[in-house]
This record gives sequence, structure tokens and C-alpha cells, in this order.
Amino acid sequence: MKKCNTFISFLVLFFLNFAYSQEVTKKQISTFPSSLFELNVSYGIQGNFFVDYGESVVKAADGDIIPFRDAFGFNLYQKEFIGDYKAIRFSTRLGGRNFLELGYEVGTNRGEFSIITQTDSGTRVVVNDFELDEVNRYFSLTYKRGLGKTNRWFLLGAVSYLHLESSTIEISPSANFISVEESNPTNSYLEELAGQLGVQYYFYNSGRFSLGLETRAYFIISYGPELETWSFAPILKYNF
Amino acid sequence: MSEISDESSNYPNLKYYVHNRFSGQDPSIIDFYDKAFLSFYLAYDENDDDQIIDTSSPPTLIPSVVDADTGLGWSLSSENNWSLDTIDENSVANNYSIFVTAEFDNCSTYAAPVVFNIAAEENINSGCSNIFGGISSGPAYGWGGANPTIPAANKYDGNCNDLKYGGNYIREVYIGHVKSHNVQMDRLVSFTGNGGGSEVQFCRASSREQITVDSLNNINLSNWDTRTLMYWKRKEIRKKRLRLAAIKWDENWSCEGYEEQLFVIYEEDNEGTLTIGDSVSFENGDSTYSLDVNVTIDNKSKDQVIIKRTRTNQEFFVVNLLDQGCGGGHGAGSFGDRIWGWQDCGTPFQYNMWHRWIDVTDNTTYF
Repeated sequence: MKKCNTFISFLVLFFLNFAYSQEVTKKQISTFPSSLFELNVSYGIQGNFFVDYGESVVKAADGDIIPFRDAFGFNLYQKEFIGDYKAIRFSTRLGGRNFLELGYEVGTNRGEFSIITQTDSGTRVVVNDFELDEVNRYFSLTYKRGLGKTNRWFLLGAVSYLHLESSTIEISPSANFISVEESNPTNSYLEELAGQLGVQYYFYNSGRFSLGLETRAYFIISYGPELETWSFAPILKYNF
Repeated sequence: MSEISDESSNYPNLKYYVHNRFSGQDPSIIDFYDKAFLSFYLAYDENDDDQIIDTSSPPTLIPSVVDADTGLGWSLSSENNWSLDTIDENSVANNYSIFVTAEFDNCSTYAAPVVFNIAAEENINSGCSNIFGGISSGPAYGWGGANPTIPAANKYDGNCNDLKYGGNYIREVYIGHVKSHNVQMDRLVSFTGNGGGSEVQFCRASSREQITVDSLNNINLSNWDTRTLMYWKRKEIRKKRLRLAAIKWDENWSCEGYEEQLFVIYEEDNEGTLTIGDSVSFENGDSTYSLDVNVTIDNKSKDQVIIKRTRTNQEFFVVNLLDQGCGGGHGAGSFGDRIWGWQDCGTPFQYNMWHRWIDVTDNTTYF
């Protein structure tokens, strides 16, 4: 929750800053173009609220995550809260300020581990600066509505089919058991239904291109609802 | 409360239970269990927010009398009054709620899905068909009892005479804890109704009771002796949850002779046929008979079987407390003072099994 509050505070400050900038340059601002079709891409960051696996993330001095331990042994599950975020979307205007958007969004969180241990049978296990990924792929259908007539602010809501990929290592020294595996939709049916709520703000326009910022909260709705990730990214839009 | 106690045939000793549970005379439901023919089931130990459910306050008691999605449960208010409330999945998942089931079979009185106890005061009916004869002896052992005598961790050296203590005994085996391995057994959405969480079945085929003999004198078995469903939410699977199953897998696995049992875990669907075939054999202790049973059981599933193992009584009780290549974990309740070996690690659901044996003449439990 602390991570969430920090993230929200940061976003609020950021958008207030742009709102202020908008006020200052209000007289110079004209309505941004809007056409029947739009293509937009974004690349930024996201915070993933799942990847700590319900345990505190403890790091070594070099930044590597220290595996948490349970009755089974060492669990190399956890990833960094902040990860990267990429999206590409195609929009069509339904009429007025209403848009329908098809999107593909990917969030990736990584965790780097180093551990040296030995099983009871004497086998030494060395994991050295090894990076494990947690990848969320969203196939989204979004409804987006412009706020006002300037085509700068948009509110959006979406439903997404979510593919999950998770790479993990389990080391149980007492059991002489080591598991290195990736779980994904193909081998483990890791798929969920997700929802989104978000805001877009465009602050720069040149010809058919517009540049802006967006933030989206992703929820798992097939169980929950449970907050999964929160993204924050610059967005570049091209109007056809 | 009166409505329950008036139906004592349906809820034997529930009043006794409630009285002792909340009057402070006997704050533990543990001791009660073996005094009444009831079993208790805690459906959820964590709420929807993954927080351990607070068990410091009195639970809602839900008599299990019908199969339904909603029902009635008794709650104790702060004014010490009982009230009857409607309960459903959501309320049970987020509040301390215990299902109470009447156990009419005296032979299975000792079965407790959640609360495993031992310190019984009244004798079980020794006329049960699944109780072997013998002579009673041995120290009393109870969780929380006075001066408990804890027997050695592993008394199962394969010699039944060493095990028996000369008593009339039953030997129970449970599926203890189960841990998910982040493998969903069903798709999220299925147009045939199979989507969502996973319906995991734990099965046992042994059967000296259910066999049939065909015209060629082949001995066949086509039904499970026990099959118990454990439902896993998608959330629980994804989070690699460790859950208490406490499923009674065998209420009495005999020691004498040689007895194989088929242990199977599969995920059930509402269509498809998963045929599980194998053979199990028996040999009586005095070699008066032996059987080879052909097991062919059809189940509804579109998947492959998750785990299929043949276990024998001569190996199971010897190795069950040992590391079987996956480490071990503490049991729950009265099984909690021992480490039980995890089994089949690396599969979608790894588990441990607990066993105990009970001298039913003096209600002494041994592990």
C-alpha cells in the first residue's frame, strides 16, 4: 500500500504540473486534431503489485533480491516492483468524442538473483546474477472518451485478456530438489480477465502527431478485483 | 440454539459443543471432538484479502445438512445471544466460520477434517466392521492433555506386531497440506463450462469391497473407494498457495498382509473421459488368499492424470515421515509436531500425507 500511495502521489503531482502548464499557455492552445483513425504507441514504466508474491522484497548490497525461504527451501520468485511498459493501440472514432481502441500492452518486471548453496547430497548450486522475468501481456478493448472539445484529455476504460508468464527457481537443499521453470499460458493456462481505468493527456501537437502522457490501472477481474499493475508512460499518437 | 438442540438426532452434542466452546470451561474445540460424533470443517483460513481469518472471536457455526450455496449459521453476539444468519460463500470466506457435520458412523468418529484430536473419553463402538481385534494397552496421548507421552516419530518398521501394541486399532491416512505450483488446470473461459478454477480430485482405489468378478474370473474394480474434491481458485494457484486439505484418504489401512492402493490426483471436468487403469494386489497376513485386481475407472476429465502412484502399506508407513526427495513440512493440529515428507514435488500439486493409528479400545492415538 505504501508503494501504491507513493506512486499515486507522484502521478498527481505530475498531472498538476501539466495542468498548470496548460493554464499558463492557455491562450496559445488550440484544439488538437482528431481523425477517424489513430495509431498510438507508448513506452514507460509500471508498478506490479503481484510480483512480491506476498513477501517483503529484501535486497543484498549489490541490489540482487535475496530469495525468501519457506518450508520448501529457497524461492526465487520475486521481481522488482517497477518494470517497463510498452503498448501499441489502434483507435477508431465512433462519433463525437467517443473512441474504440484495440491494444496490445506488455509489462515486464525483472528480478536479479545470486545465491550459492549446497544440497544435502553435496551438490553445489550456484545462481549468479541471474535475471528472472514476470511478463504480463494485455490484449485490450478500450472505450475512450474525450473531455472537453480540445482533444487533449481522455478518460478510458477497458477489458483485457491477460497472458501471464513467470519464470522461477526453487531450491530445496534438504530435499536435493531444484526446479527451474517458466510458467506461461501454453503450459499452465496462465490467463486471466483484466480491467483497466486510465487517463490520457496530450500536451504537444505537430501536424498529424500528438505527444502526451497516460496512466492506467490494471485490475484482475476474473478473481478479485485485485490491483495488478499501474502504468505511467509517454504516448505518441498519429492521426490518419 | 434451541432449534438445533431440539434436533439432537441431526446435531448430536452440538449444544454440548457450543456450551463448552464458549463458556470458558473448555476453550478448545480440540478436546470436544472425540466426545461427540461431529466433525468440523474450516473452509477458509484466509479471507479474500489474503489475511488470516481472526479466530479469536466465536465462529459462526453452520450445520451441514444440505447441499446448497447458501444456508443458515448460528452466530454469538457480543451480548452473548445466538442469532441465526444467512450465510453464503462470501461470508464464509471472510469470517470465522465452521461447518459442523454429524458423524453417524461410530467407526469414523475420529475423522476430523480440521481438528485432529486424540484425548477421547468415551469408547468407540468396537463392533465396527473395519476394526481389527486385539488387546488394549498403551499410554494415553493427547494434544494438550496432561503429561502427554509422545511416542517415537516412526513406529512403522514394517512389523505389524511392533505396531499393534496389542490393541484394537484403526489406521487413518490423510492428505495433509497441498501446495499449488502455478499451473492452472483449466482455461479461464470455457464454452463447455470447464473454465475457471481447478476441481482437483484426490482418489483411492483399493477395494476388497467393490470388486467384481467377470465370466473369465478376472477381478475388476471400476469405482473409487474414496474420491474427495478440493477446489482451487485461480488466485490460489497463481500465488502458489499452501493450503490445508485434511482429506481423509483412508479411514483404516490395515497393517497385516500386503495391500496395494492406487493413489490418483486428477482435475475433473464436466466432459471428456479419463480412463485410469492399473492393477493392485492384496495378500492376506496369513497367506490365506491373494488377489490381483484390475482397476479401470472412467472419470470426467479432458486432461491427463496429474499423479498416479501405487502405494503399499509396507512401504507407505515406513517412508511417510521421511524425506522423499522434496523435503518435509509440519502437519496441523495433532499432526503438527512432526515433519511429513512432501511428495511429488514439481507436479502441479505437491502434497504431504499424515497418518495415525488409533487404539480404539482406549482411544489412544499413535503416530
